[in-house]
Amino acid sequence: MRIRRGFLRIAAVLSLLTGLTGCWANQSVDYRAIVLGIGFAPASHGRLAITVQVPNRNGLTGLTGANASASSSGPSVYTMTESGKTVGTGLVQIQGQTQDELYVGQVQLIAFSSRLDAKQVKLAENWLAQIGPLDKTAYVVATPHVRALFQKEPATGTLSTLQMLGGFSCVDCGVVTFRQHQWDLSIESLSPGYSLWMPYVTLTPTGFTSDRITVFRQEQPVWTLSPAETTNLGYVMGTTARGYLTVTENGEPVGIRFISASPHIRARIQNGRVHIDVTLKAAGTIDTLLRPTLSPQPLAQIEHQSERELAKQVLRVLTRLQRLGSDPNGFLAPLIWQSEPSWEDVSTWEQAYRQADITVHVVFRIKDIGDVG
Amino acid sequence: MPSNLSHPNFATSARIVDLLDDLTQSAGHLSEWLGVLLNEYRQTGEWDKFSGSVDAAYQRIQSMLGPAPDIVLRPFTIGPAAIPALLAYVSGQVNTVLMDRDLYHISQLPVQNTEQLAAALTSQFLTVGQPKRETQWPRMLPAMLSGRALLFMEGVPEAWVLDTAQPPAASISPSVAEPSLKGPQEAFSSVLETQMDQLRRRIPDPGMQFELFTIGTQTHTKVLLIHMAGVANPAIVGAVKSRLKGIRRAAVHTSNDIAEYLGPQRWTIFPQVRFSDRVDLVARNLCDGKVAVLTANDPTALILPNTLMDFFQTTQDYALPWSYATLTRTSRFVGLAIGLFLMPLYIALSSVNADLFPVQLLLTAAGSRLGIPFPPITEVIIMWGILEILIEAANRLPQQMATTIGIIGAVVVGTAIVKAGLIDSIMIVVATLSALSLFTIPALELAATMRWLFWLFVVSSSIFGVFGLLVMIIIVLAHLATMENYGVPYLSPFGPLRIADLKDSLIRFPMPRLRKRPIFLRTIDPGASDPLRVKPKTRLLRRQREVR
Repeated sequence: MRIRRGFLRIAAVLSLLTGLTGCWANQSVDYRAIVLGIGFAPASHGRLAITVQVPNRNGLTGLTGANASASSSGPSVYTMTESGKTVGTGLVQIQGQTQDELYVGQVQLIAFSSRLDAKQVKLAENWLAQIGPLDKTAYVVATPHVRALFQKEPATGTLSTLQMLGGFSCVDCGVVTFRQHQWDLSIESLSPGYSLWMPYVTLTPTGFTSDRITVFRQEQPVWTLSPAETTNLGYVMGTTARGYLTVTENGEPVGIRFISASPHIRARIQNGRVHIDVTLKAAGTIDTLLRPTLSPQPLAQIEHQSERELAKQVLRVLTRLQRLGSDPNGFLAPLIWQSEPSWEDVSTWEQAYRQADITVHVVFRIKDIGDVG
Repeated sequence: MPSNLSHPNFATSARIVDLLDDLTQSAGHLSEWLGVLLNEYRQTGEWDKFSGSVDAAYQRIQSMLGPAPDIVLRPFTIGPAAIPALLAYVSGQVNTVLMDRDLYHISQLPVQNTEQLAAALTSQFLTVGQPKRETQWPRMLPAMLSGRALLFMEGVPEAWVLDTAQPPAASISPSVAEPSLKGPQEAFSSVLETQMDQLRRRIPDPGMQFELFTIGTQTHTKVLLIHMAGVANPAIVGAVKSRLKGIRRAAVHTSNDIAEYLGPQRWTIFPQVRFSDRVDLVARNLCDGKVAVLTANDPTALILPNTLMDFFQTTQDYALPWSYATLTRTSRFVGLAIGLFLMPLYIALSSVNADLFPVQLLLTAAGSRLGIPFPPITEVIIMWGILEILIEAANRLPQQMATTIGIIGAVVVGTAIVKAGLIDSIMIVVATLSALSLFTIPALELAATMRWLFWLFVVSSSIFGVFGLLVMIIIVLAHLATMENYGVPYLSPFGPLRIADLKDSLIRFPMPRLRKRPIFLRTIDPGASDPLRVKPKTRLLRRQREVR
């Protein structure tokens, strides 16, 4: 009886170890090609070009201070591109180019070409959502040149992708903190009424710039906003940390910086028409003022002017988005659904959204005056 | 002639002659031995009983012990009637001054016959301690060989066993195996009597009780069971006692020969008996209600029952302020966690669950592993093999050379092995940190257990990754939770939770707050101290006057 019980225990442990684990297929890092970046771009004949970025010996040894000097000059990454009808076929071809197993468990950056069509974006997004080992915390960006982005060599010792991610992970480094993770994208693509958006990354001689975003109409890229428009949209999305605005007071220009806003959005239906009221409580610091002192009256005038100017600029962005049928981050959709649940159908919602009456109301407060913020 | 000596027939003849000589001698011994036996048997009707004949005693001792140079058989006569007597003892084990004095007194006793002699010895013979009378040879001879003197008198059918043993002088030295920064340093002597004396000086309480056992049919090793009556749980004392009584061995050379009989679970790798050569540690544990076992000729005492937590505590924890003790205890546990889990985690993450690594660390690890010919598990085996060899080498060498070995191991081998590209640099860091951390465990017996666990975790994590590591931890915890040591749950005071005992576990409360003996020991008297009733508020005056 005792032996039988012991046997049962051992059998239970063994079945746990063999049955529940998904570890058998795993391999040591020694035999893995660690994919840091994966990109999707349009290819000929409606195919999808897949690009992967894998750090090479230079890139890996250059990370540690001791080996940084020892690493020889040359590229720090392998960039391999293949095209296929699906993501899988492209990756299989890439796998054929390398001895080690492509490992996507540590993908840090997913780059979508801004020239992809909705079908290709959908294809890529479906694959990303389905692939199990993929790190869903990876950042997602849109870029005009995927391969060039991955081939870009960093100015400093680290890898280019890690350098770019450093900018994304820093909350107060940019004017707008626009970060999009893969899991956000998966949720948005599955939620009706949501439009995708991604930070738009362009190459510069010294590195990267990511002060803009690309918005989609569902899965179709439709508009890459300018940096100023991105900032204005950021007020509504609550992601602008250091906005800038210029107004005139008595014919003299006044710069206001470090503008941040807390948005309050309310959607209501009146006589079958959607009314969207956006209220922004904004605050900023006067940057450039010709007169050294200010009396309360002109300060109030500057605030009033700022309210009007900011409302106008934000409304302009929202109106264009409305015209394109794009609702990045889906900030309006839940409000409309709450009012009229039957509008969950995308076409009904889009029609209602396009005909919606949008008003923007800004309450502006100058919280400081000076050149140093 | 030389040709005859080398002839095979001559060599065979010589061997036959030798053999015949041996046989003749043996037959002589056997005949002598049988003669003595038969003589005594005729008189007593028993094979092992002393007949009362001094000659028979002389012959029996000689025939049983052979021509041993340290056996002294000293015939003499007693009183005016010249009653034949024999004193037998082992030289070197007895106090010769005492022996000479007693021998003189005995020989001068004014007795005329054996009846008077027996009476005189009983009433006047007080100089040696604990004289006993013995009739059976199987008990007499071991007593003599352990330092007592046997006095045989013609016509008296019993021998007097005189306590003339002189324990060898052994200096009391500081504990080497369990050093302490502060507090007592005294280690046990190897001599049982001195060990008792050392304990008596620390606990001069009548409650401390010693019970002697003699274990080993060859070695007749004295083993002492010690406990505090009125404190220790009688069930625990009784259980240890019955286990000691049940030991049947030919030889007991070390305390571990006893310890492995005392652990309730034989096949566990977790220690159940604590070994210590520190007198203060044993005394403290006795006062707490535990039981100690001392073994003759071994300075290591056994303490039991124990919980896992006990093996993390040292007497230094009590010799230094509570804040320091708490800090060091905590650091021991942090050390344990690092020592046990750092390497398995590194192996799990680099071999199986690379997705759980932070990317920067993964790339650094991958970079450091470039060109390394072995998988991480092989690297660990190599590293640990080197480490074990270094430890063993350092243990075997004198202190000065051990330091040199340490330097060679750490610097030369460590550097060379990285330069040779056999082990990656991160592995060196992880292995060194793990090894150092495991050495923070104060009890040597637990350190070995942790090394076993280390390997279990390393192997499971190299195959199954973090999942395997977690499963193994659960198995170990389940095993620990089922363990009981003489009725004391091994995971006490954490499982079952004893809030009061937590005060002296991972942390140590100040002494005035430690009012109870460990609850898990279920002592007869749970109170260890009373609350401090006197709380003087001292007021210092600006000009203090002398108190008259």
